[in-house]
Amino acid sequence: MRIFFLALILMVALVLQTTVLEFLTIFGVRPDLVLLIVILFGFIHGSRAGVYSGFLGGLLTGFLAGNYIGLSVLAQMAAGYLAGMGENRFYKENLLIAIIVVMVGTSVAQIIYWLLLLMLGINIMFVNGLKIILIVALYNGALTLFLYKWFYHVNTRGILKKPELE
Amino acid sequence: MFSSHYKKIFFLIIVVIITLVVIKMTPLEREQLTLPETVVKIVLAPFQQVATGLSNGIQDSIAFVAALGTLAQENEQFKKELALLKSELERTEEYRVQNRRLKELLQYKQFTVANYQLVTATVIGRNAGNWFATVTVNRGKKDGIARNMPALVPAGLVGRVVAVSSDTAEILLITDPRSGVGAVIQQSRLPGVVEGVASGAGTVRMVHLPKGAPVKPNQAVVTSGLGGIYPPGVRIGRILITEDDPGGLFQIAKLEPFVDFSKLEDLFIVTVVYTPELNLPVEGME
Repeated sequence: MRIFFLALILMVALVLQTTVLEFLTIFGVRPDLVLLIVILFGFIHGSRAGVYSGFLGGLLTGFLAGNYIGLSVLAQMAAGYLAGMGENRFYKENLLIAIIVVMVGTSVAQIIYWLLLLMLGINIMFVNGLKIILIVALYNGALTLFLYKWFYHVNTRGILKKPELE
Repeated sequence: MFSSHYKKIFFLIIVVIITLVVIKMTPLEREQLTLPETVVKIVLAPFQQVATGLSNGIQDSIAFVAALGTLAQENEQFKKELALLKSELERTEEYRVQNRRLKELLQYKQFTVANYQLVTATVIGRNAGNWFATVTVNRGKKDGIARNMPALVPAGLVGRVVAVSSDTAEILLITDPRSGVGAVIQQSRLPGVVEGVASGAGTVRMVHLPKGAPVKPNQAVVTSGLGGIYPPGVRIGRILITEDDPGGLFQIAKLEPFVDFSKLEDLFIVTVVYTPELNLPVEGME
């Protein structure tokens, strides 16, 4: 059931990202909502959950894009895993820590994406790549400021709560 | 304990390898989309359409309210411009007639520039990331859309169709780093290739221009028609600055596209082009 809700939230994020957020760009760059959710999910529930949500989010993103399916999968799985490593190390109720985790995770995912593009022979000029990574990371960090309280609640008491073992 | 740890790493490596293979197997240019892609596109398309429609509406109303104060002034200015353009149009008509007469004199076979059959399409979604620049439109196979059809707006070239599902099509914008368009500088007819830089960059660049060639800011760049995908003479952008390619022999021009890709709402997909060069004698290309 939890995976169904996670998929639903990821799909809503994907629809917003491909539509509404186009009107809210900063220097032509949009935030990455799907990645943001993957990172926060990993941060709250651990690496394993981070990898799964990254796989799901990346796959949905890839299917909708319709080409190079898997680019987002690898980038988001890595970000989810990395964020999950902070699960037991950091105090999860601290907003500032969540923001830093999101900004680091976002940057790592975008760098992996960039490296995969290079591997495919798609060259992005250094200045442009750097600009994208910096703005996405800052934008995602800023969104965390508004979304984290709600998302944390949903993940600890709401529909994305870890099922209790009986 | 140890074995489960290795199992995990082994499993992860397998997943990464499979994913890398899938990335390689699903490039931009494919004949057919797979089932999961089609399903995700079809399921999300109506939601995208509604969300885009709403955001367009909100943006238009904000722009309308913001413009209220300056409308009268703008109206006055438009009237002046209209008068100017009318006189220009008359002059163009003169050239057109003259052009036809001269062509007849030269016994050129008849050709029709800008003779496109068009399908209008509305943008319903964008690429999820910031690296690639693609848009999804609400026309697909059902409407006769096929791969490699060019997409235009009155302001200039938008891109080409790269993937089609039954109801939607994916358009690769000229700002995408995977896009390359055969182009010429309008005045000097100097050829080159216009490449995208990245979705977030807002500019494109023209490469393969010989070093020392007269390339100046504000010159217009249009499609050359070479390569067979894009019709010739479609406006692409205006040169902002030029710089020497670090490689040595070439210079690179940075272009501002004529199309504002951040405000792209509707576009035309060209389903049939009557390519003029097919009917032209070879020296006509000069």
